[in-house]
Amino acid sequence: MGKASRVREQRSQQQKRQQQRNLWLATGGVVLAIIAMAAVLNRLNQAPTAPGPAKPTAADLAAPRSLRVAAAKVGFHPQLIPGVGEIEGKSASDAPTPSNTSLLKPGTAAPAFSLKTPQGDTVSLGDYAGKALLVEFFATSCPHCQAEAPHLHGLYSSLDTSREQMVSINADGEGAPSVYAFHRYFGLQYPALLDVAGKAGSWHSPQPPGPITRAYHIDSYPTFYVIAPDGTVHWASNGEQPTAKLKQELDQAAAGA
Amino acid sequence: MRRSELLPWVGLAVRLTAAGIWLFAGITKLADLDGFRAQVDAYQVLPHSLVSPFSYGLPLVEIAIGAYLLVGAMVRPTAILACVLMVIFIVAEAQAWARGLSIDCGCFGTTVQTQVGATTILRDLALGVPSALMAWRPARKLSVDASLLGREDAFAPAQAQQA
Repeated sequence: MGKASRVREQRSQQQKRQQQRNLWLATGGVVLAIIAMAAVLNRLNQAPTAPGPAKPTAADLAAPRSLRVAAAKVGFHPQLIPGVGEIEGKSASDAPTPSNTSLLKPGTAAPAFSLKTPQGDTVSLGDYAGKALLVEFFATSCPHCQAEAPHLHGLYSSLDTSREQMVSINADGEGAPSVYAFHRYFGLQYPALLDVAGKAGSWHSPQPPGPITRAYHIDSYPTFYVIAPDGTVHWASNGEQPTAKLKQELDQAAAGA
Repeated sequence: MRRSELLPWVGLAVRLTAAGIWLFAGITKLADLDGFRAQVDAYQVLPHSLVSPFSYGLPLVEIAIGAYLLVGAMVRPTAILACVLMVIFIVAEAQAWARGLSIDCGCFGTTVQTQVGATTILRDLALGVPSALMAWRPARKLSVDASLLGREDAFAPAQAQQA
Protein backbone atom coordinates (compact mmCIF):
# COMPACT_ATOMS: atom_id res chain seq x y z
CA MET A 1 0.00 0.00 0.00
CA GLY A 2 1.39 3.40 -0.95
CA LYS A 3 1.86 6.29 1.48
CA ALA A 4 -0.88 8.32 -0.16
CA SER A 5 -3.43 5.56 0.08
CA ARG A 6 -2.45 4.94 3.74
CA VAL A 7 -3.06 8.60 4.51
CA ARG A 8 -6.37 8.41 2.65
CA GLU A 9 -7.31 5.31 4.64
CA GLN A 10 -6.37 6.98 7.93
CA ARG A 11 -8.34 10.07 7.03
CA SER A 12 -11.37 8.02 6.12
CA GLN A 13 -11.10 6.07 9.41
CA GLN A 14 -10.87 9.34 11.31
CA GLN A 15 -13.90 10.66 9.49
CA LYS A 16 -15.91 7.55 10.34
CA ARG A 17 -14.94 7.83 14.02
CA GLN A 18 -16.02 11.46 13.98
CA GLN A 19 -19.34 10.51 12.36
CA GLN A 20 -19.86 7.79 14.96
CA ARG A 21 -19.25 10.31 17.74
CA ASN A 22 -21.76 12.64 16.12
CA LEU A 23 -24.32 9.85 15.94
CA TRP A 24 -23.88 9.07 19.64
CA LEU A 25 -24.14 12.78 20.45
CA ALA A 26 -27.32 13.03 18.39
CA THR A 27 -28.69 10.01 20.27
CA GLY A 28 -27.89 11.75 23.55
CA GLY A 29 -29.90 14.68 22.22
CA VAL A 30 -32.81 12.35 21.36
CA VAL A 31 -32.73 10.90 24.90
CA LEU A 32 -32.75 14.39 26.43
CA ALA A 33 -35.60 15.41 24.12
CA ILE A 34 -37.60 12.35 25.21
CA ILE A 35 -37.04 13.17 28.89
CA ALA A 36 -38.03 16.80 28.30
CA MET A 37 -41.16 15.83 26.34
CA ALA A 38 -42.22 13.32 29.00
CA ALA A 39 -41.76 16.01 31.65
CA VAL A 40 -43.82 18.49 29.62
CA LEU A 41 -46.59 15.91 29.09
CA ASN A 42 -46.55 15.21 32.82
CA ARG A 43 -46.92 18.93 33.54
CA LEU A 44 -49.60 19.55 30.90
CA ASN A 45 -51.69 16.57 31.86
CA GLN A 46 -54.84 17.86 33.55
CA ALA A 47 -56.56 14.56 34.18
CA PRO A 48 -56.95 13.73 37.85
CA THR A 49 -54.44 11.39 39.35
CA ALA A 50 -56.07 8.30 40.77
CA PRO A 51 -55.60 8.06 44.52
CA GLY A 52 -52.72 5.78 45.36
CA PRO A 53 -53.01 2.76 47.60
CA ALA A 54 -53.03 3.55 51.33
CA LYS A 55 -51.52 1.44 54.10
CA PRO A 56 -53.94 -1.43 54.68
CA THR A 57 -55.36 -1.78 58.17
CA ALA A 58 -54.11 -4.59 60.42
CA ALA A 59 -57.55 -6.22 60.18
CA ASP A 60 -57.39 -6.25 56.37
CA LEU A 61 -53.85 -7.62 56.39
CA ALA A 62 -55.02 -10.40 58.71
CA ALA A 63 -57.92 -11.37 56.42
CA PRO A 64 -58.14 -15.07 55.48
CA ARG A 65 -55.83 -16.06 52.66
CA SER A 66 -58.73 -17.19 50.48
CA LEU A 67 -60.25 -13.70 50.67
CA ARG A 68 -56.91 -12.02 49.91
CA VAL A 69 -56.34 -14.28 46.90
CA ALA A 70 -59.89 -13.74 45.62
CA ALA A 71 -59.48 -9.97 46.07
CA ALA A 72 -56.18 -9.94 44.15
CA LYS A 73 -57.96 -11.69 41.28
CA VAL A 74 -60.55 -8.92 41.16
CA GLY A 75 -57.76 -6.61 39.98
CA PHE A 76 -59.29 -3.54 41.57
CA HIS A 77 -57.67 -0.23 40.66
CA PRO A 78 -59.05 3.30 40.69
CA GLN A 79 -60.29 4.78 37.41
CA LEU A 80 -59.20 8.10 36.04
CA ILE A 81 -61.90 10.43 34.80
CA PRO A 82 -61.80 14.21 34.65
CA GLY A 83 -63.83 16.25 37.12
CA VAL A 84 -63.77 13.88 40.09
CA GLY A 85 -62.20 14.54 43.47
CA GLU A 86 -62.46 18.32 43.21
CA ILE A 87 -65.22 19.22 45.65
CA GLU A 88 -63.94 17.30 48.70
CA GLY A 89 -61.49 20.01 49.74
CA LYS A 90 -64.00 22.86 49.37
CA SER A 91 -66.03 24.49 52.15
CA ALA A 92 -69.34 23.14 53.50
CA SER A 93 -71.31 25.83 51.67
CA ASP A 94 -70.12 24.43 48.33
CA ALA A 95 -72.08 21.20 48.89
CA PRO A 96 -74.23 20.33 45.85
CA THR A 97 -78.01 20.15 45.99
CA PRO A 98 -79.01 16.48 45.96
CA SER A 99 -80.30 15.28 42.60
CA ASN A 100 -82.09 12.34 44.20
CA THR A 101 -85.38 13.73 45.50
CA SER A 102 -86.64 10.46 46.95
CA LEU A 103 -83.96 10.19 49.65
CA LEU A 104 -85.42 9.64 53.13
CA LYS A 105 -86.41 12.92 54.71
CA PRO A 106 -84.84 14.22 57.94
CA GLY A 107 -86.78 13.04 60.97
CA THR A 108 -87.87 9.72 59.46
CA ALA A 109 -86.66 6.56 61.17
CA ALA A 110 -83.55 5.18 59.46
CA PRO A 111 -84.23 1.63 58.18
CA ALA A 112 -82.45 -0.86 60.44
CA PHE A 113 -79.69 -2.99 58.92
CA SER A 114 -77.59 -5.90 59.96
CA LEU A 115 -74.98 -6.62 57.31
CA LYS A 116 -71.71 -8.50 57.04
CA THR A 117 -68.22 -7.20 56.39
CA PRO A 118 -66.16 -9.06 53.74
CA GLN A 119 -64.49 -10.92 56.63
CA GLY A 120 -67.90 -12.08 57.86
CA ASP A 121 -68.38 -9.85 60.92
CA THR A 122 -71.90 -8.56 61.43
CA VAL A 123 -72.46 -4.82 61.82
CA SER A 124 -75.89 -3.43 62.67
CA LEU A 125 -77.40 0.03 62.81
CA GLY A 126 -78.20 -0.72 66.45
CA ASP A 127 -74.46 -0.92 67.21
CA TYR A 128 -74.30 2.84 66.70
CA ALA A 129 -77.27 3.83 68.88
CA GLY A 130 -76.47 7.01 70.81
CA LYS A 131 -73.90 8.17 68.25
CA ALA A 132 -74.11 10.23 65.10
CA LEU A 133 -73.45 7.93 62.16
CA LEU A 134 -72.31 8.79 58.63
CA VAL A 135 -73.40 6.11 56.17
CA GLU A 136 -71.87 6.11 52.69
CA PHE A 137 -73.47 4.00 49.97
CA PHE A 138 -70.79 3.24 47.38
CA ALA A 139 -69.72 1.09 44.44
CA THR A 140 -66.10 0.04 43.98
CA SER A 141 -66.19 0.87 40.26
CA CYS A 142 -67.53 4.38 40.85
CA PRO A 143 -64.75 6.96 40.26
CA HIS A 144 -66.56 9.44 42.54
CA CYS A 145 -66.50 6.92 45.39
CA GLN A 146 -62.83 6.22 44.70
CA ALA A 147 -62.09 9.95 44.80
CA GLU A 148 -64.06 10.25 48.06
CA ALA A 149 -62.36 7.33 49.78
CA PRO A 150 -59.09 9.02 50.87
CA HIS A 151 -61.08 12.01 52.14
CA LEU A 152 -63.45 9.80 54.12
CA HIS A 153 -60.39 8.03 55.50
CA GLY A 154 -59.08 11.40 56.65
CA LEU A 155 -62.46 12.40 58.07
CA TYR A 156 -62.69 9.19 60.10
CA SER A 157 -59.24 9.83 61.60
CA SER A 158 -60.44 13.21 62.81
CA LEU A 159 -63.62 11.94 64.52
CA ASP A 160 -64.23 11.51 68.22
CA THR A 161 -65.46 7.96 67.67
CA SER A 162 -67.23 7.85 71.03
CA ARG A 163 -69.71 10.40 69.60
CA GLU A 164 -69.42 10.06 65.82
CA GLN A 165 -68.99 7.00 63.64
CA MET A 166 -68.84 6.02 60.00
CA VAL A 167 -69.85 2.98 57.99
CA SER A 168 -70.05 2.31 54.26
CA ILE A 169 -72.50 0.01 52.51
CA ASN A 170 -71.86 -1.41 49.04
CA ALA A 171 -74.76 -0.41 46.84
CA ASP A 172 -73.75 -2.32 43.71
CA GLY A 173 -74.48 -5.87 44.82
CA GLU A 174 -70.77 -6.74 44.98
CA GLY A 175 -69.36 -9.71 46.83
CA ALA A 176 -66.72 -9.93 49.55
CA PRO A 177 -63.55 -10.01 47.36
CA SER A 178 -64.47 -6.84 45.50
CA VAL A 179 -65.47 -4.87 48.60
CA TYR A 180 -62.43 -6.17 50.51
CA ALA A 181 -60.11 -5.09 47.63
CA PHE A 182 -61.56 -1.56 47.74
CA HIS A 183 -61.44 -1.38 51.54
CA ARG A 184 -57.88 -2.63 51.65
CA TYR A 185 -56.67 -0.42 48.79
CA PHE A 186 -57.81 2.74 50.54
CA GLY A 187 -56.78 1.50 54.02
CA LEU A 188 -60.23 2.33 55.41
CA GLN A 189 -60.64 1.99 59.16
CA TYR A 190 -64.45 2.05 59.24
CA PRO A 191 -66.36 -1.02 58.05
CA ALA A 192 -67.53 -1.62 54.48
CA LEU A 193 -70.65 -3.81 54.43
CA LEU A 194 -72.06 -6.16 51.82
CA ASP A 195 -75.65 -5.72 50.65
CA VAL A 196 -76.34 -8.41 48.08
CA ALA A 197 -79.76 -9.23 46.64
CA GLY A 198 -79.04 -12.60 45.04
CA LYS A 199 -75.89 -13.51 43.19
CA ALA A 200 -72.92 -11.47 44.39
CA GLY A 201 -71.25 -9.36 41.71
CA SER A 202 -67.83 -7.76 41.52
CA TRP A 203 -66.40 -4.47 40.40
CA HIS A 204 -66.36 -5.79 36.83
CA SER A 205 -69.91 -7.10 36.91
CA PRO A 206 -72.19 -5.32 39.36
CA GLN A 207 -75.42 -7.02 40.40
CA PRO A 208 -78.75 -5.57 41.54
CA PRO A 209 -78.37 -3.91 44.95
CA GLY A 210 -79.61 -5.52 48.13
CA PRO A 211 -82.61 -4.64 50.32
CA ILE A 212 -80.88 -2.04 52.50
CA THR A 213 -79.69 -0.03 49.50
CA ARG A 214 -83.26 -0.08 48.19
CA ALA A 215 -84.71 0.84 51.62
CA TYR A 216 -82.54 3.96 51.64
CA HIS A 217 -83.72 4.86 48.10
CA ILE A 218 -80.24 4.96 46.57
CA ASP A 219 -80.14 5.87 42.87
CA SER A 220 -76.51 6.95 42.50
CA TYR A 221 -73.12 6.70 44.18
CA PRO A 222 -71.92 7.90 46.49
CA THR A 223 -74.99 8.70 48.57
CA PHE A 224 -74.56 9.89 52.15
CA TYR A 225 -76.84 9.73 55.15
CA VAL A 226 -76.13 11.15 58.58
CA ILE A 227 -78.20 9.31 61.16
CA ALA A 228 -78.83 11.06 64.46
CA PRO A 229 -78.09 9.36 67.81
CA ASP A 230 -81.84 8.63 68.16
CA GLY A 231 -81.85 6.60 64.91
CA THR A 232 -83.63 9.14 62.73
CA VAL A 233 -82.33 10.57 59.48
CA HIS A 234 -80.58 13.88 60.15
CA TRP A 235 -79.36 14.67 56.63
CA ALA A 236 -79.02 12.98 53.26
CA SER A 237 -77.44 13.88 49.93
CA ASN A 238 -75.94 12.23 46.88
CA GLY A 239 -72.79 12.91 44.90
CA GLU A 240 -69.32 13.76 46.14
CA GLN A 241 -69.39 16.09 49.14
CA PRO A 242 -67.01 18.59 50.70
CA THR A 243 -65.49 16.80 53.69
CA ALA A 244 -66.29 19.91 55.75
CA LYS A 245 -69.99 19.44 54.98
CA LEU A 246 -69.96 15.82 56.17
CA LYS A 247 -68.18 16.84 59.36
CA GLN A 248 -70.62 19.71 59.90
CA GLU A 249 -73.65 17.43 59.57
CA LEU A 250 -72.08 14.80 61.86
CA ASP A 251 -71.30 17.45 64.49
CA GLN A 252 -74.82 18.85 64.31
CA ALA A 253 -76.36 15.39 64.60
CA ALA A 254 -74.11 14.46 67.53
CA ALA A 255 -75.01 17.71 69.31
CA GLY A 256 -78.69 16.98 68.75
CA ALA A 257 -79.17 20.12 66.65
CA MET B 1 -32.43 -12.54 -8.72
CA ARG B 2 -29.53 -14.31 -7.03
CA ARG B 3 -29.64 -15.01 -3.30
CA SER B 4 -26.71 -12.69 -2.65
CA GLU B 5 -28.57 -9.85 -4.34
CA LEU B 6 -31.84 -10.63 -2.59
CA LEU B 7 -30.51 -10.96 0.97
CA PRO B 8 -29.80 -7.25 1.65
CA TRP B 9 -33.35 -6.43 0.57
CA VAL B 10 -34.76 -9.16 2.84
CA GLY B 11 -32.72 -7.62 5.67
CA LEU B 12 -34.10 -4.20 4.85
CA ALA B 13 -37.66 -5.61 4.88
CA VAL B 14 -37.09 -7.15 8.31
CA ARG B 15 -35.64 -3.87 9.63
CA LEU B 16 -38.57 -1.87 8.27
CA THR B 17 -41.02 -4.39 9.75
CA ALA B 18 -39.39 -3.96 13.16
CA ALA B 19 -39.49 -0.18 12.68
CA GLY B 20 -43.16 -0.34 11.75
CA ILE B 21 -44.06 -2.39 14.82
CA TRP B 22 -42.34 0.03 17.19
CA LEU B 23 -43.69 3.14 15.48
CA PHE B 24 -47.23 1.71 15.58
CA ALA B 25 -46.86 0.74 19.25
CA GLY B 26 -45.58 4.20 20.17
CA ILE B 27 -48.06 6.22 18.13
CA THR B 28 -51.11 4.26 19.33
CA LYS B 29 -50.05 4.84 22.94
CA LEU B 30 -49.41 8.53 22.29
CA ALA B 31 -52.89 8.83 20.75
CA ASP B 32 -54.55 8.15 24.13
CA LEU B 33 -52.02 8.87 26.84
CA ASP B 34 -54.52 8.94 29.69
CA GLY B 35 -55.92 5.60 28.58
CA PHE B 36 -52.42 4.15 28.43
CA ARG B 37 -51.60 5.53 31.87
CA ALA B 38 -54.67 3.79 33.29
CA GLN B 39 -53.54 0.56 31.58
CA VAL B 40 -50.05 0.86 33.10
CA ASP B 41 -51.58 1.57 36.50
CA ALA B 42 -53.70 -1.57 36.22
CA TYR B 43 -50.60 -3.77 36.03
CA GLN B 44 -49.97 -2.85 39.68
CA VAL B 45 -46.22 -3.19 39.22
CA LEU B 46 -44.84 0.34 39.29
CA PRO B 47 -44.95 2.53 42.38
CA HIS B 48 -47.79 5.01 42.04
CA SER B 49 -45.47 7.99 41.55
CA LEU B 50 -43.70 6.33 38.61
CA VAL B 51 -46.84 5.42 36.64
CA SER B 52 -47.18 8.82 34.91
CA PRO B 53 -43.51 9.38 33.98
CA PHE B 54 -43.28 5.81 32.63
CA SER B 55 -46.53 6.10 30.68
CA TYR B 56 -45.43 9.36 29.06
CA GLY B 57 -41.84 8.28 28.43
CA LEU B 58 -42.41 4.81 26.97
CA PRO B 59 -44.35 5.83 23.81
CA LEU B 60 -41.62 8.36 22.98
CA VAL B 61 -38.91 5.74 23.47
CA GLU B 62 -40.84 3.35 21.22
CA ILE B 63 -41.18 6.00 18.52
CA ALA B 64 -37.45 6.76 18.77
CA ILE B 65 -36.65 3.05 18.41
CA GLY B 66 -38.94 2.90 15.37
CA ALA B 67 -37.36 5.99 13.81
CA TYR B 68 -33.81 4.74 14.39
CA LEU B 69 -34.62 1.37 12.82
CA LEU B 70 -36.40 3.11 9.95
CA VAL B 71 -33.36 5.18 8.96
CA GLY B 72 -30.94 2.45 10.05
CA ALA B 73 -29.06 4.47 12.63
CA MET B 74 -27.17 2.44 15.26
CA VAL B 75 -29.17 -0.60 14.23
CA ARG B 76 -27.60 -3.08 16.65
CA PRO B 77 -27.76 -1.00 19.89
CA THR B 78 -31.30 0.07 18.98
CA ALA B 79 -32.40 -3.50 18.30
CA ILE B 80 -30.83 -4.67 21.58
CA LEU B 81 -32.75 -1.96 23.45
CA ALA B 82 -35.91 -3.09 21.62
CA CYS B 83 -35.32 -6.70 22.73
CA VAL B 84 -34.74 -5.63 26.35
CA LEU B 85 -38.01 -3.69 26.29
CA MET B 86 -39.83 -6.67 24.77
CA VAL B 87 -38.52 -8.94 27.54
CA ILE B 88 -39.70 -6.42 30.17
CA PHE B 89 -43.16 -6.32 28.53
CA ILE B 90 -43.40 -10.11 28.46
CA VAL B 91 -42.35 -10.38 32.13
CA ALA B 92 -44.94 -7.73 33.10
CA GLU B 93 -47.67 -9.54 31.17
CA ALA B 94 -46.68 -12.93 32.58
CA GLN B 95 -46.84 -11.72 36.17
CA ALA B 96 -50.23 -10.08 35.57
CA TRP B 97 -51.48 -13.28 33.95
CA ALA B 98 -50.09 -15.42 36.80
CA ARG B 99 -51.80 -13.18 39.36
CA GLY B 100 -55.07 -13.65 37.50
CA LEU B 101 -55.50 -9.94 36.74
CA SER B 102 -58.05 -9.44 34.00
CA ILE B 103 -56.55 -6.28 32.56
CA ASP B 104 -55.94 -4.86 29.12
CA CYS B 105 -52.50 -5.46 27.65
CA GLY B 106 -51.96 -1.83 26.65
CA CYS B 107 -49.48 -3.11 24.05
CA PHE B 108 -50.98 -0.80 21.45
CA GLY B 109 -52.60 1.69 23.80
CA THR B 110 -56.36 1.72 23.56
CA THR B 111 -56.32 1.21 19.75
CA VAL B 112 -56.00 -2.58 19.88
CA GLN B 113 -57.42 -3.92 23.13
CA THR B 114 -56.50 -7.45 24.15
CA GLN B 115 -56.75 -8.95 27.61
CA VAL B 116 -53.40 -9.96 29.06
CA GLY B 117 -52.79 -13.70 28.78
CA ALA B 118 -51.03 -16.36 26.74
CA THR B 119 -52.21 -14.71 23.51
CA THR B 120 -50.57 -11.36 24.23
CA ILE B 121 -47.38 -13.04 25.45
CA LEU B 122 -47.13 -15.15 22.27
CA ARG B 123 -47.96 -12.10 20.16
CA ASP B 124 -45.19 -10.10 21.81
CA LEU B 125 -42.75 -12.97 21.26
CA ALA B 126 -43.67 -12.99 17.57
CA LEU B 127 -43.48 -9.20 17.28
CA GLY B 128 -40.06 -9.31 18.91
CA VAL B 129 -38.62 -11.59 16.22
CA PRO B 130 -37.72 -8.84 13.69
CA SER B 131 -36.04 -6.81 16.44
CA ALA B 132 -34.14 -9.88 17.68
CA LEU B 133 -32.98 -10.60 14.11
CA MET B 134 -31.69 -7.02 13.84
CA ALA B 135 -29.81 -7.36 17.15
CA TRP B 136 -28.24 -10.57 15.85
CA ARG B 137 -27.54 -9.46 12.28
CA PRO B 138 -28.19 -5.76 11.75
CA ALA B 139 -29.43 -5.10 8.22
CA ARG B 140 -27.72 -1.97 6.91
CA LYS B 141 -29.03 -1.77 3.34
CA LEU B 142 -30.04 1.86 2.76
CA SER B 143 -29.05 2.87 6.27
CA VAL B 144 -27.38 5.75 8.06
CA ASP B 145 -24.96 3.21 9.52
CA ALA B 146 -23.78 2.24 6.00
CA SER B 147 -23.77 5.64 4.32
CA LEU B 148 -22.35 7.65 7.22
CA LEU B 149 -20.13 5.14 9.01
CA GLY B 150 -19.49 2.75 6.13
CA ARG B 151 -20.63 -0.14 8.32
CA GLU B 152 -21.06 -3.48 6.60
CA ASP B 153 -24.50 -5.06 6.21
CA ALA B 154 -24.34 -7.85 8.79
CA PHE B 155 -27.58 -9.38 7.50
CA ALA B 156 -25.98 -9.96 4.09
CA PRO B 157 -22.22 -9.80 4.75
CA ALA B 158 -19.86 -9.39 1.80
CA GLN B 159 -18.45 -12.95 2.14
CA ALA B 160 -21.95 -14.34 1.85
CA GLN B 161 -22.58 -12.18 -1.19
CA GLN B 162 -19.42 -13.42 -2.84
CA ALA B 163 -20.28 -17.03 -2.06
